[in-house]
Amino acid sequence: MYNKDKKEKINNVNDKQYLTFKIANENYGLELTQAKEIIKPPKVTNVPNTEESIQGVINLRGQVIPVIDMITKLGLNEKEKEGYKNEKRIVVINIKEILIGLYVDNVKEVVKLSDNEIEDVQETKKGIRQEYIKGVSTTSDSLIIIIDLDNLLFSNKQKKKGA
Amino acid sequence: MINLSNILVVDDAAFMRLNLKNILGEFGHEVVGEAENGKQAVEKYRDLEPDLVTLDITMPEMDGIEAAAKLKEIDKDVKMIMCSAMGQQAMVIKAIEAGAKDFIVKPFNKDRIKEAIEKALA
Amino acid sequence: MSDNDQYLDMFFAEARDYIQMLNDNILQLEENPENKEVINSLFRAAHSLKGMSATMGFNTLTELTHKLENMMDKIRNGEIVVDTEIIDLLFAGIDHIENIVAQIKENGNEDIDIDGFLKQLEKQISVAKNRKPEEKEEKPAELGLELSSEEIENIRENKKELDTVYQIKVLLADETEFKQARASMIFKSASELGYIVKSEPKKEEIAEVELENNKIKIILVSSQTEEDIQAEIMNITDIKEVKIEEIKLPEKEEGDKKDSGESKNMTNSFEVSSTVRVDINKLDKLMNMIGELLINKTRLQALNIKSDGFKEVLPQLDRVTMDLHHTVMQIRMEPVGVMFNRFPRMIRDLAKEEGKEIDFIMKGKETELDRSIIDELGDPMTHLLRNAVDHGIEKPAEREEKGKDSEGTINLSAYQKGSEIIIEVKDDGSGINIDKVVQKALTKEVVSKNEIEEMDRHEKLQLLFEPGISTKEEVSDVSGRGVGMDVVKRTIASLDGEIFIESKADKGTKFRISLPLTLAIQEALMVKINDEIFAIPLNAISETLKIKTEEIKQVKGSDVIVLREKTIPLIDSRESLNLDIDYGQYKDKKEIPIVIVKSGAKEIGLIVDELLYQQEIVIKSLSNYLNNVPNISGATIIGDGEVALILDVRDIA
Repeated sequence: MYNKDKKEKINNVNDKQYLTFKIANENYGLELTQAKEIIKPPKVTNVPNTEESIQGVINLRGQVIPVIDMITKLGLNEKEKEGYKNEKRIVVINIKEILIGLYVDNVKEVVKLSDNEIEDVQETKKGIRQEYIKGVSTTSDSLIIIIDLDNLLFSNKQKKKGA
Repeated sequence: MINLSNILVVDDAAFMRLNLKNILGEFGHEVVGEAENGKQAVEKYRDLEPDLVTLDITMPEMDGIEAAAKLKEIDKDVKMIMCSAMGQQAMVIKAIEAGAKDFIVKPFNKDRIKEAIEKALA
Repeated sequence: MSDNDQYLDMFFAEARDYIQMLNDNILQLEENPENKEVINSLFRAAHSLKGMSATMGFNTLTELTHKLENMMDKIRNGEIVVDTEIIDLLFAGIDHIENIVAQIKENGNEDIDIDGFLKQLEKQISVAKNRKPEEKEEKPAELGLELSSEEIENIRENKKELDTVYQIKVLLADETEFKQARASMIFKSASELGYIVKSEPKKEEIAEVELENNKIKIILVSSQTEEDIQAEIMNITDIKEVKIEEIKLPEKEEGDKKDSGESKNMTNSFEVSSTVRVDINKLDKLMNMIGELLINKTRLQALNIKSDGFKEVLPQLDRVTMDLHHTVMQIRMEPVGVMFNRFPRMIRDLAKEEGKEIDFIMKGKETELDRSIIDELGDPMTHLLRNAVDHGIEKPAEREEKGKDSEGTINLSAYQKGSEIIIEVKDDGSGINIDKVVQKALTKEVVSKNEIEEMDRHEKLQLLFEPGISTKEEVSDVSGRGVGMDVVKRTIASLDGEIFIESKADKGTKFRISLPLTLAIQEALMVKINDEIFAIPLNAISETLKIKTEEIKQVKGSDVIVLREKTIPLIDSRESLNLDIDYGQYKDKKEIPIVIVKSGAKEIGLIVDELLYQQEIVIKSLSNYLNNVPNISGATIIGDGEVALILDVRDIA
């Protein structure tokens, strides 16, 4: 049960915390447990012969990790890439024991959502592939699109690119 | 020729120290100091500079093996005899490797003590 | 880790060494059935294994080793004569020991039924001639410790002019309290008088092993006199008897064929210097830390701080880091002999099975390689050697028909060449049938007829490494089993190495494996391509140069240059990297920097934008998320903390 007006919510066993961030003017979220840290983007070294959405690699305290350009990965409109220059961040996630950086426009806050606050979606805006999305939350001020990282990162890879 | 010497007795039990002191006295050696643990042993060794040290193995604060090693550091010619109980053989071996010259096993046999002291001082 | 685990680990490590020693010695015994030294070695090894097993409570193993020890004892005193049946029995015994140890390791129990074998052993032991049972009393004539030829060599090298080698036997009084502590006092006393070459029990084992019959045996090298040593040791309380005698070292003799090339590092030699066993995970951690240190040192250097103090400290830091790196590298290095050692036995068994006569010669066992590489090499090497026995060497009759010696030879050698380690497997057998290989390749559609026409002999041979090409019609149990030549090549490639074949019909085959000396830290040339910095491993580079556009020639429509009469094809690095820019831009420049790299067996001129500097780089793997990026083998972190990619030029042609 929730009440839109109240800030307080009844703590539910199924409540999970989500890290929210902005990509191309939309809010997205992922389970906080998957996020390891948030850093200001250092110089990203381009890796040739890799997918379009792989921006390159960075040095994370001695480890070399790949950085995914989320706008490209989600298939969003490129024009939206502008803006938020100083706020751009890389969210480092740990998935299947691999560290991967997600390049986002800015990072917002951590919100608590219970399972029943996340609705399934039949079709989404901007044509994002359905399997990439776990659901959508309409609580709080705006729509938060909850990302399914597993499917996003590990389903068939797209065509390769040059540098 | 028997050497009569100054000895430092180290054992956490006062009874054992007294016992050993008496035996050593019988042979003409002088117990110039006593210590209840390894730490005290090291301090007293520095002050008294005895000819020989008897070291119990299990003591609080610093055991006999550690004390043996420390004493060896202070004086590489230190003469030490370990006083051990049954079942402490492994520790005696460690103490010997740390520099102890010999060992005697409780309950003490007077002749053995005499022999060990003489050999150590030779 | 619980105490028990530590003992277990030690047990497994020691057991492995003893098993190896037993195998080696039985092989020697097979050649020299009368060699007393070998027999004694075998006895002692079985004895030690028995002791260890009993201590750990492994009853089956204890019983087995005990029976083997009995057998060795009987062989020692002549009651059992060594013949092929005995040798086979001994080998079988070792195999059983290995199986039981493996069972304990994997399943924590000894559930292996060796009753049948134990009965066999028992039969042999009791059938032995019944001699007069000897009194088990202490006779002065009792055997002392024997010295192996390595130990004798060791002594010869280290002893001074006036030193004497003594055999010392000390007997403790029966009523001695703390016998092992007395023994440690004896060792202490002895080491103050000279140096202990060998002892029974061993110095390190003093606390664990019980004294046999209250006796301690020591071989001591000392400048003191016999009387002095005797007096010193007799002086220790509870010593009943001390016997000393001088040992005269035998005359230096020619090593026999089996000894040629054997190194001082054989696992069954007692080393005079002390060693420690190190957990390989700890070594890996150490290497990683040094890698980090190196990166940070490089970054510090790049900061270029203008301070005298800084300029002074930096070269020191550099030197220390490099020394540290080299030392740890050396710790990680192990002689290949460790892996090679199991091959003589394997080849002997295989040859016997196939009815072939084979002389197996190993050379360069002391050549050192990084531990992790040695682990991975085991399987490919085994496969190559099995192939040599199975497909290479022909049966004696066939060999004689060809006019060859009925005994075939297989050579396994290892040596260092520059910054690489080379391992060769050579046989004088039937050679590889190139036509058959080509046929198979065509049938399996690995290559097309046209491609075959373009290939030279060497390239055709390399087809053997393609999956599915096995020229023997039946996949024989010996070398089949899914470990194909393609897996061999892949394993070696994963170690950054390469493998080449040479073969001549009826003359033989040679496999040559080259491996880089170090994996994690390498010298590299930094270059700039399209404003990004890349690293090219130095061991892949033949040379670098700058050429003028006019020097570029055209052959079959491709750009080449001619360098000292060699024609070298040119490749634009942008093309290899699939960069989204026009290729061929280099033609507009006045001077074109070229890096001549070794790609497979060829040389290619790689055109880059700028040649920067040479640097030691720490190789970092590219994330698992990026699988197999073509032409990129890894990454490294350069001065400003950024990532630079490492070019893999092997397939760049």
